[in-house]
Amino acid sequence: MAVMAEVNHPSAGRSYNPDWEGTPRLGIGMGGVKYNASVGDLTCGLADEEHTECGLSIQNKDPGEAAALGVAGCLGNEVILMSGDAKGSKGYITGKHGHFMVWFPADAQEQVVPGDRLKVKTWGTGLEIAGYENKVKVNKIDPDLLEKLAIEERNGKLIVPVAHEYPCWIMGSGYGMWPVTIDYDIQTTCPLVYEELDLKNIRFGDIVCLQDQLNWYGRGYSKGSVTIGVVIHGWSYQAGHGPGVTTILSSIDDTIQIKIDPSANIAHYLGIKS
Amino acid sequence: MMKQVLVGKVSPPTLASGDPRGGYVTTWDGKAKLGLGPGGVKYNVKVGDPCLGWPHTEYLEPGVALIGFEEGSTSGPYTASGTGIAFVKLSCLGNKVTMINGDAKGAKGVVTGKGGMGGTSMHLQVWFPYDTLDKICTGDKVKVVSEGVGLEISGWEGRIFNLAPSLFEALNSTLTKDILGLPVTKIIPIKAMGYGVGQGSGETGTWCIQSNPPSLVDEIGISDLCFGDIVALTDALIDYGKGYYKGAVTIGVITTGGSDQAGQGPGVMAIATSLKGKIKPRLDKNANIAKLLKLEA
Repeated sequence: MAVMAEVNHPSAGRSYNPDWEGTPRLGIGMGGVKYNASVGDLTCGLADEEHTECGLSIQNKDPGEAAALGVAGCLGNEVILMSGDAKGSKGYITGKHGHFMVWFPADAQEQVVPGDRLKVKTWGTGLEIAGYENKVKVNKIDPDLLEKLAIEERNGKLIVPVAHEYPCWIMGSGYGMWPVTIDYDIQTTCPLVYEELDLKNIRFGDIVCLQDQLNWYGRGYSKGSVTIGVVIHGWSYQAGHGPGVTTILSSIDDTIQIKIDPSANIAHYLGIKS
Repeated sequence: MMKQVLVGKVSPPTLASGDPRGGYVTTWDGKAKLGLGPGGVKYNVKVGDPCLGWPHTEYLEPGVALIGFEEGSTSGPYTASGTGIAFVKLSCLGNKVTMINGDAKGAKGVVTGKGGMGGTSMHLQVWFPYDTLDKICTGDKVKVVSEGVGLEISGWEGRIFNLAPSLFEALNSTLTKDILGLPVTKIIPIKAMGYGVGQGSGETGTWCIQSNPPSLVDEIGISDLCFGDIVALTDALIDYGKGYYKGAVTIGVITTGGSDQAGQGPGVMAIATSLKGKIKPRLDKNANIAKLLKLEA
């Protein structure tokens, strides 16, 4: 189904926001067109960064049309520029924050400006995996991209390559919310666990595993459940926040199993970066 | 410490779902649920009562719910202006409340909590004597005497929130070297904490103890949790925001009821937090603010 959207503009408040320690910070990175933050890059390291959205960010201003895009758009969906100097260029959806994030080839991205119109070829809402309907729910992923994730089926289990694995207690903002319309964050505000959880090596597009988390009708703790997601925005310095995860697969039991593969990133699977 | 007057009104009842068409929430196991409980005047739910097990409820608020307002404002009750936000942020547990119009004019109550989810984070919860509840209507005006913002404990490395000085005294805290001892009914592990993480500083909002799936309620032993219970959260910091922090300890009060929505449940409003773990909770089954404030049944 075709759903239209528009490249948005960065926005800002009227004051500093306190970080987790109470230090005022500016915090830029949401919305707009980024020249130097792309899917596959590290999620931290830019000055004054806060929830950096890689590539370009798109949305609809009309609430009804925004909701339609929010529900129908999926990671990996093809996006076509319908106006502006890069009209006709093709890219992919790489994440769902409040906005969707989109990757375009660098030469097209250089020509895009906020206000350009795009068409999203939405596909994937309602997707199920035959034979696993009662054990695994699928969320917000294009069927073609799901096929490329190198998932192996073995003895009734689905073996998913992931770049990182996280315990439930590190999951933050977005917890308890609806997986269809919002991500939730891997908290990066406790320096004491940066090394233990390798938090400085999270990349935009990484496929990650969240243990003891069920993302079916909402999201929360469920002992033994396994959730797989894609990292879609950057670090945060606000308490309870960090790189966001759009969840794509969730099994109520151990039907989903993982193998660690540092190259498990959608930039690789979409053929954007090696 | 500054002492000043705030004025609000009795909030109408609302539903947990913000969707005006459906009005239902979706439970963790995929069922539709009405979700009553936020706002309004409750005759049979008061601070000190169990917070789980009330049929069809979500984020149930005990007693009388108040909301700040600005005379002549055209904004809705949940798009609170600066005065509405100040009404919540400046109020403290144990602050004295007086009805200033309506049939219950002159009735005296006490602040027992703040709301948590969405629009209810702009709510205050107040206990009034049972025989005054029948006279209170939604929309009646209420005066709150705010006192407690800025409370500090000299010689202690941590922050205090939402406490009237008189209630702090009633807690019977101890300060041994640099460790603050406080009474609690439960100690909750970080893995049980859900919605509310990442959402704002200690003066507003709550952090949910997840009350689903049912196996988790048993696992962490919260089936007998009550409104007003004082609890400890380990590895949790509620300060300039709400989040995980290894070794931190937060003490809070249960202000809202259970939830069947995934990742949600009774809300904990912070009263003390220490990044460096300078709080030692001591288990005490009487650690409930209804008892500390001597609120009659």
